[in-house]
Amino acid sequence: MKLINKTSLTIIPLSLPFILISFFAFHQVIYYLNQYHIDQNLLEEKDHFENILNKTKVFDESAFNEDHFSIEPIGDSVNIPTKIETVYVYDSLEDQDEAYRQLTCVVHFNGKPHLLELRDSMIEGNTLIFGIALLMVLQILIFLFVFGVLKRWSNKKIWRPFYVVLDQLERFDITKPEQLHLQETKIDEFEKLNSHIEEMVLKISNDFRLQREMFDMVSHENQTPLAVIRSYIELMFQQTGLNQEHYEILSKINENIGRLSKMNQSILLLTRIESGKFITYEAIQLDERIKSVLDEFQLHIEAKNLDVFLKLDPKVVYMHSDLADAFARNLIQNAVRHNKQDGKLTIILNQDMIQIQNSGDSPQFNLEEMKGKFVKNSADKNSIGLGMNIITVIANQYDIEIKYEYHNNTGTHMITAFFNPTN
Amino acid sequence: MNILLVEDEEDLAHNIKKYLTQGKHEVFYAAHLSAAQDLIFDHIFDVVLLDLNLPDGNGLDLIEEVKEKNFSTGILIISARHAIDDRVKGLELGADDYLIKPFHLSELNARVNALSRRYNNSSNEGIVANEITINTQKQQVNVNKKIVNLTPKEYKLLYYFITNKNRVLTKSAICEYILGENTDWVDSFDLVYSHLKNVRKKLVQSGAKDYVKTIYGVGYIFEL
Repeated sequence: MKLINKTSLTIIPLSLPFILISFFAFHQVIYYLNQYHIDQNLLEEKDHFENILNKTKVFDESAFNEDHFSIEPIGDSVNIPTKIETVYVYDSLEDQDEAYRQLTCVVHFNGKPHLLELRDSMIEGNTLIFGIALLMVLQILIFLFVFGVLKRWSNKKIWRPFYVVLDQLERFDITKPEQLHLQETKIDEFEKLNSHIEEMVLKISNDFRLQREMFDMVSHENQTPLAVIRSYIELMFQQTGLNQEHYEILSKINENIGRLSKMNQSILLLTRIESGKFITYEAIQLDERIKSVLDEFQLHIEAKNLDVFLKLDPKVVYMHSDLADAFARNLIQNAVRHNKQDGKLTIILNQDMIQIQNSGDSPQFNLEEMKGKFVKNSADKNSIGLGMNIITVIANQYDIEIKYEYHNNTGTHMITAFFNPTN
Repeated sequence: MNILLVEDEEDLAHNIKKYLTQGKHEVFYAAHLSAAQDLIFDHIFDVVLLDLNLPDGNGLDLIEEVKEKNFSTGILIISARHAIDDRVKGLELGADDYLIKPFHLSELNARVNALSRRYNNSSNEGIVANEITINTQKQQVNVNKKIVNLTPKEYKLLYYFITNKNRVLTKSAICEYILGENTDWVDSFDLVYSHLKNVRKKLVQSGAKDYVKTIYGVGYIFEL
């Protein structure tokens, strides 16, 4: 559940008992107030009655316009205290018992004791009370609702720095740590949160950068000993007295030096891209670049007898020139190398995307993993698997989205790169 | 040909010198920027092989000095750095070519030769290998004064073989020279093989001997 909803909604279970209790409490209070009022009325009536009875000798009912009363003579010996109580009288019209407040007392008329009962209906009052209580509760509810809405709005504002942190962490890219922008805040806890996160990010990105730099340096340093070894091998080749076996051994060593070296160079390229050394944006005519890179692979295409289909619209992208080359080259190289003999190679370029298709067997590995990892296609012993990694890293730098699919029915691998609309 | 080699890695420098010297070049050697500067001051070189990572400075700083001394000195940068910025900068400053370590000595040799011929007028008479003559200015091949029609890749192949004559050339070295960077996989040589076959066929058809000898499983040698 979202934080804002949680904080807003908790008010409901918290206030519900309060509302119920206050409803009942209020209701009770007014009920008893009303009852007291009625009782006071009854007492006044009783006085009024006694007055009248004292002044006249004849009991004239019409002088009294009370709702209900009864007066009965009773015997002397009965000693009845004055009391007021709630009674229920059946009303045939309404077909239900109705509540009355009844005063019972002894009065004297013509010297003889009489039992006087005065009753006053509670119905109207009760209805009114219920209505008032309900209204009261409604008022509370409205108040709570408005208050709730205002509080929710205010909470959103207060919590803003926190949401900014969440959002920034979601988009965080370790290669672009400077893009972290946390919201300034006067709230102590958020200030602490911000400063801890900034510290952490700084440390992580520094570590990352140092690691990459070391990786870079090591790969770079490796080149020289490799060069030295290769030069010795080549001189060995020129020695006299070598037999076939010697030649073959030297040849294998040479081959492997080549592999090591290529891997080194790919790693160097990768680390350089990730460390942000290629952050420039030049206008590149991508369709032209693709054509010229394709030329470089002409011999390979002929050797595999590939059927090449091109649909290249003129498209300008803003990238570092050499990254554009590396991007195109790795995409095409991937499609050529993993293509079948007599297979098909298709390149489509338009304003929104570039798509490369090649015929091939279904992949043995998870499609999405391939983008991010060092995947070695075991069928090709010279594959070093970094090609896809380079493509992914370059795409990441320029906010290009890469999608990889394999279509079983046509046996086609498809890599689609969607350009960022702002590029 | 006069060559200046500026390289601080001793073993490598020694081997380069050895290989190039076998081709009848005179190789001067400096391991520091300062030593290189002295040599540049005292001599005119046909080609300067320049490593960038020198202990006392960046090799790029030498380019200007070399060009000032003699504009037609060819400069070939040899560096472990694949840094494209260096390559661009080097070429902007006046370098003519760039080779990334580790490279094949045979490739270095071929490029050094090509460089010297770019500027040096005296070498215009071309490369001669018995009945085969290569006119580097026109990129033309003659056999017994008759023109042989070679495609650009075939020409490149022949040039490579002849400038590295009598040396064992591995398949991967040949590949890298002809195909450049796109030689990541083993079957690359098959692509070059057909070009090699064509060159040999055309030369033989024009009356030349086939000097290319196969070393099984390894490569070839142009035996004169």
